[in-house]
Amino acid sequence: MALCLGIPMAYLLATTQFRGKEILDTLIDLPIVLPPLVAGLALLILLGGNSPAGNFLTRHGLDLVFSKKGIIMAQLFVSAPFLIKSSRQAFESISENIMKASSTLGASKFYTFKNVSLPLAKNGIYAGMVMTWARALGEFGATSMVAGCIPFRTQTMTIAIYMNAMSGKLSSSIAVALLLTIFSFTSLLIFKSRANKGLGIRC
Amino acid sequence: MSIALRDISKNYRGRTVLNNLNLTVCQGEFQVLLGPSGSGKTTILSLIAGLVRQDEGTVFINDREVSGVPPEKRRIGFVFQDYALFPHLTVFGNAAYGLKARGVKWSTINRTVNHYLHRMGIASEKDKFPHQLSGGQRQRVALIRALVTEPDILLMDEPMSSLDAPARERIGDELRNIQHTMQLTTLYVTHNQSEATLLGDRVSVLNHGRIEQIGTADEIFHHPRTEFVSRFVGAKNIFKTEVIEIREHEAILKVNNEELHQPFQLSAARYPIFEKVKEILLCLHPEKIRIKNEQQAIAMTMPRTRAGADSSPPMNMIAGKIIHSIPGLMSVRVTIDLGGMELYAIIPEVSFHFRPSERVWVCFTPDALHPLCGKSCKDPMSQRKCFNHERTINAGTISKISINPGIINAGIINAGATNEGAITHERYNRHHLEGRRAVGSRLF
Repeated sequence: MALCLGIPMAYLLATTQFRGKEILDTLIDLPIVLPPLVAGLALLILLGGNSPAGNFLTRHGLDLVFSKKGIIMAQLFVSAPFLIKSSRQAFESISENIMKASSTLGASKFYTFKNVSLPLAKNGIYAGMVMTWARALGEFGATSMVAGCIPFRTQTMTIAIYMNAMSGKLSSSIAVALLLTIFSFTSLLIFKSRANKGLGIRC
Repeated sequence: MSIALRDISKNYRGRTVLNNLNLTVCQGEFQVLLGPSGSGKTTILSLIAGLVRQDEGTVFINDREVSGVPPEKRRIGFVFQDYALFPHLTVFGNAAYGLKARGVKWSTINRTVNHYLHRMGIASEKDKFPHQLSGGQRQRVALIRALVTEPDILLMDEPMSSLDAPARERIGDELRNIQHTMQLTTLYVTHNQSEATLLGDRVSVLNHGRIEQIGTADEIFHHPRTEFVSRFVGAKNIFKTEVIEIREHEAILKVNNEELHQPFQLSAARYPIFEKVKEILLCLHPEKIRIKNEQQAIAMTMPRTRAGADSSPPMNMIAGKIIHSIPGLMSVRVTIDLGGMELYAIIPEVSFHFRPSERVWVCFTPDALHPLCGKSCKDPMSQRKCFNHERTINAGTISKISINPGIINAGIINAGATNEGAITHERYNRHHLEGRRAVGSRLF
């Protein structure tokens, strides 16, 4: 989801000028600096059952609060900014003349995006994906606020570690932590090896 | 395809880059746009390509207004100063990009790209990436990439600025051949005068967003019309003069530049402009100056015995002192002190036997002086009001040039031979070579 929403937004911010661009950019950066609990509380208020947005979503069958969809929303909110920032920097680092060259050769804007911008920004996007993934994996505050900590329903592994540790089930907590560590390490290794393949071509 | 820019103005962040500019490039012409850095050359190319939009004025391609047409629809080839090759694509990938973007069949792409790679002598590098190529090779790939799509117009933004002189000459010759074969309308932008002489059918000189002079390379370098053009092409000797007397074949003028300790008089060939103005700037070409020592100068002033000699206008001879000299390939660039004012001369190496601080006589004929009438002029020399049609012109000087596909026609006047116009490309190239030598030695 972060890729689908984040990359077009990053490309837009990198390549176009429009009014309110800096405001949008600041809004995107906000979840990074905001304490996760505050972010979670904000989401709860904005999307909860009593808010206009929450009512709209409920009418269309989207119950975000205290549900798995809420977990996704909370994690998207706090971790997507990493992907957007990293991708934006990657797009901005592409020489303007290269983009101009593409259009003078008869390529449409979409063709240029697909065949020039994306391949050249690949490393930055991968780096952003790694950070986004890592942030979402370790996310606790916002997720617990929005989705609650209902065991076996809206309990992420990170939340499970905390809850087991607090209720004295230390061995369960350690087991989950170990699993999470192995999972994180493997994911990171896969991401990095794919990014390094791209580095061989980039000059 | 022809190009026309009419009354173009463009500002960047409050700075006027182009100021009511008018420029025409004829079908099949190779025009060089010459100007210093920051004069708006790249902006002009960007406007023609559709990469930027002008604030005022209109851009025409083949008499059709193209202001709203995006770059990808304009059928132009653009070679950037930094080449802008796609770093993630091989040489073949870069060259094929334009055809692939247009949805051309793979077999056609293969055939066309390989043809151009072979023609430019770079087929063996086709699987390499740009970072593995030399500067000259990258330049060829950038050129191939622009030509492969068979554009109607080729725009080049100082593409040879990072090449050494031999590579520049070699690639310049190839470029000229390709352009001539394809009859491709080309606008080439540079600040390098030798490239202008090497490549252009016509040269436009740009200053602060306006064209100051347009003409053949010979006209620009040997008959500059304004002080800016004169200094830019290396004819840095500019005299501020006052018209004293007009005789039958020459005019006497008093030189009164501010830095001179004492004014002196000069004899210049007669130009109609001397009858219209009291004060005028004169330009003295560095390669028309001769330096003599005391004995040689005295010998020159002895009365001549051959008939008609006394009626010829007197040689100008001014006392000076050598400041310093810089040896070049076959000539020496000399700076001379003329009593407070510095004069620049280019002397053949075999004739230069002087030391710094040595007292000399600076000698030049009245023909060596040329008025700078101060107007930006786009008319050919034969139509200019200030040009003296009675002057004898050396055989082979081109006075008028018009561009026709395949053959360049030139009008030659008073050549002593036939007056018919058509010359072949070989004779035109010979003029380019002579101009090239003059410009090459003039670059200080």
